[in-house]
Amino acid sequence: MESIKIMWLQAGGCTGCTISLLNSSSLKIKNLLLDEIVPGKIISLIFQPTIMAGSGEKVIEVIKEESLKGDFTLVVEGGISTKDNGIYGKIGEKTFLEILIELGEKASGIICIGTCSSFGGIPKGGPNPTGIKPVKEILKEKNIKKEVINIPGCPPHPDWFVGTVAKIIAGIPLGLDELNRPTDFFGKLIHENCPRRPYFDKGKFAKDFSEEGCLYLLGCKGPFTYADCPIREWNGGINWCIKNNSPCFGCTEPEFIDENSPFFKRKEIEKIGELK
Amino acid sequence: MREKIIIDPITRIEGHLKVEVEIENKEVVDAKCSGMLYRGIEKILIGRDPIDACQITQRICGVCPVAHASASSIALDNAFGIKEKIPENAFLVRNLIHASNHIHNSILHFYHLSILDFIDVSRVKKGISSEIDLLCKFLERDNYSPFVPRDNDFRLSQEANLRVVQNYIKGLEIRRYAHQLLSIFGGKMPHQCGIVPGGVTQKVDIGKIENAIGKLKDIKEFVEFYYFSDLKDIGEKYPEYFKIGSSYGNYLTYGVFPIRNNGSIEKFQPGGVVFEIEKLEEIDEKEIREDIVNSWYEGEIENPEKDSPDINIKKNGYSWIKSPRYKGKVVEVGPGARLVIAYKKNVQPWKKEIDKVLNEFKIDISKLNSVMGRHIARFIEAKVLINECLNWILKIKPDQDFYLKYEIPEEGQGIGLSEGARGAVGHWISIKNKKISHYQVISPTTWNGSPKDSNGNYGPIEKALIGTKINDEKNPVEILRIVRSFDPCLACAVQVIDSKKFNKSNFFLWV
Repeated sequence: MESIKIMWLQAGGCTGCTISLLNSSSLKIKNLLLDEIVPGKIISLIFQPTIMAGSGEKVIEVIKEESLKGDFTLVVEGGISTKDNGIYGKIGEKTFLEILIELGEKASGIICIGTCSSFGGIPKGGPNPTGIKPVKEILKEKNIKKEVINIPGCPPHPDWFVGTVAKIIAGIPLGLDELNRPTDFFGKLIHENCPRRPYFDKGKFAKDFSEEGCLYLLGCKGPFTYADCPIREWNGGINWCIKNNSPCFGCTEPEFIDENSPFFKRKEIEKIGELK
Repeated sequence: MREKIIIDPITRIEGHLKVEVEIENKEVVDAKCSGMLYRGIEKILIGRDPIDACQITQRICGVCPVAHASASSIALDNAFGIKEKIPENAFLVRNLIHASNHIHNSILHFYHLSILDFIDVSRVKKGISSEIDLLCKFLERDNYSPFVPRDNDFRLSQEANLRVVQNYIKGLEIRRYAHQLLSIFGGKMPHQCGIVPGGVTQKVDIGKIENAIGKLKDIKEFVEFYYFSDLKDIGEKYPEYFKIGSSYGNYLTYGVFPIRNNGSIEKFQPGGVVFEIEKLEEIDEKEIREDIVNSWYEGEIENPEKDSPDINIKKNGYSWIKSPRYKGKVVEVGPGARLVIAYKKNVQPWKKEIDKVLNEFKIDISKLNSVMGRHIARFIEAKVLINECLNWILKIKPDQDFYLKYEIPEEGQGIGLSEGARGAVGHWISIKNKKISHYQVISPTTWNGSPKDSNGNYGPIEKALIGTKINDEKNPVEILRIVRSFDPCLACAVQVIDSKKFNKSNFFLWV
């Protein structure tokens, strides 16, 4: 049985990415934890602070041992603070920044889960009080040459993570866009697949939430946002933002949050994303 | 001889929490609780469009985002002067979104954050159920992560252990249903998009109502039968946990789930303050102050309505968490607080359900102030809220309004008081030139996880730790169980460190 070992660093985030992964339904979370993810291959969550049993020295020993072997994938959730040497977030007297560098150097690959680690996200919002930087940028500055896969979203859809990992394990080449996002999930604009597109094309726009129509004037960032939410839908196909009559906030983009806010005001259409 | 144990951070909680305790003759004599993450969300909000607060503050916590959406929308409704005019449907749908988040949290907290302290996942045998067979196959591996390493003190019988392990796996599915229930009304989860100032974005039609009732029935079945029996099994084998982990017995809740009743707004779970389990008072939010003498901020006392202190890494400080106090007193917030206050106020259906469950466990209301008491309180809440959701759903009138149009005023001020699963959440907002000029949040773990205040009073978690007997210093499960019973929400976690070995070599990995 071949296993992919995962060490999951939670940095300056909200745990929403972890909780979203627990919502996995295409492949249920019990199967993700206990079963083969693709035939003959399993995920081994060596370190995942929200769900793991142990605490204490025992855990440290395992991490120490496993990180030396180097045969693990580092998953980073949350923003990495760099201001004042990153004192704004610590685990075991070490800053997230130090931990990222230490584990990043040893990891065989790095997956950023969520917009905070991928691009900075919410905590990077102006005035960026703690000096959050994307993981990719930090590694570049420290001259750590490791491939980074970004799976943004606030939070990301569980399928985006599970699908990406499954593809890696199965040895199928992963297409990435210029922002290191898997093109399988981030290849098309929300706008391209939006069920309200006919309203946009006809010029029927809702001006408040009691009206029917395209949500562009209510601030929808669908024309600027790459993600497959309209096809995939959320929480096991129950609903998603636009279906819930709420504008897309563009949470999978580096522009989230500063350039994508005010969330409920229109963004100039000249900046519309390009079809890929 | 005094010995120090540092737990930094603790797994199976939300956020970065460090706990430091001193032990003498196997008893905890001092405790320090430190929040280890600062993101400055309140600073990020300044200058932004007020209605964005509802989305941005949700990102404070991915486990209980709805509590912040709720407090924020109430603060904004107040600041915009539209609170009284919000359509009844909006109250109902907001409550459904919010209650589903609490139901999800009870299941998440008991089954996935706490229960591994009480069950042995490796003591199972094939042929009981598909879940257990899946686990047996897993146990044939050479690596049991994430179920190893682990602590010990597992006391359940073989049969009870099997049942509860099975429900641990089943619970993974059921918790997801609670998020699906939420998503029917809130668009997606975590970080729903349904709640906005003025109401909710989406009208609810009969299809959604039917779908939601279906989800509620699935969750209800699991909660009423399995959750309860698992709680009983654990309660029986760990009787001392009805006594340990007590804080002061002072409780505070703002009340939650507003409903319109003949023109006035009432809360399904009432607000109030109780001192020493006995003295009940109505709450006055003007009595809230944040003591920051031991926190890494400039100054000593803060008024959330107007102050927004800057960072100052003081020498004597030991936490990013502030110490909110009510009339200068330390209070515990959370499900225990909500139940004690509803009970003291004789509010139904709470009183009846609480009496029933207390009777099953042969305890009185004061025992909610304990490790097991907090677990029981979460169960009672889940059960009552599931039934109330069914009532709320049937009150929705699909042909009427769900949203009220409004204008953002040039200037305004608003307070939004609500509850997260973990306790009282307050948002204070000021608006100038249609932009946010001040924003302060006091969240549940700020109350429960607070450091010592200027009067030298310990925060609730610290207080609950002090006096606890530690059976095995190398394996201080008592501390972990006490801290986890509060369901602290800071965001992540790892290691218990023996102070004698607290040196660089221990942190090999991080160095």
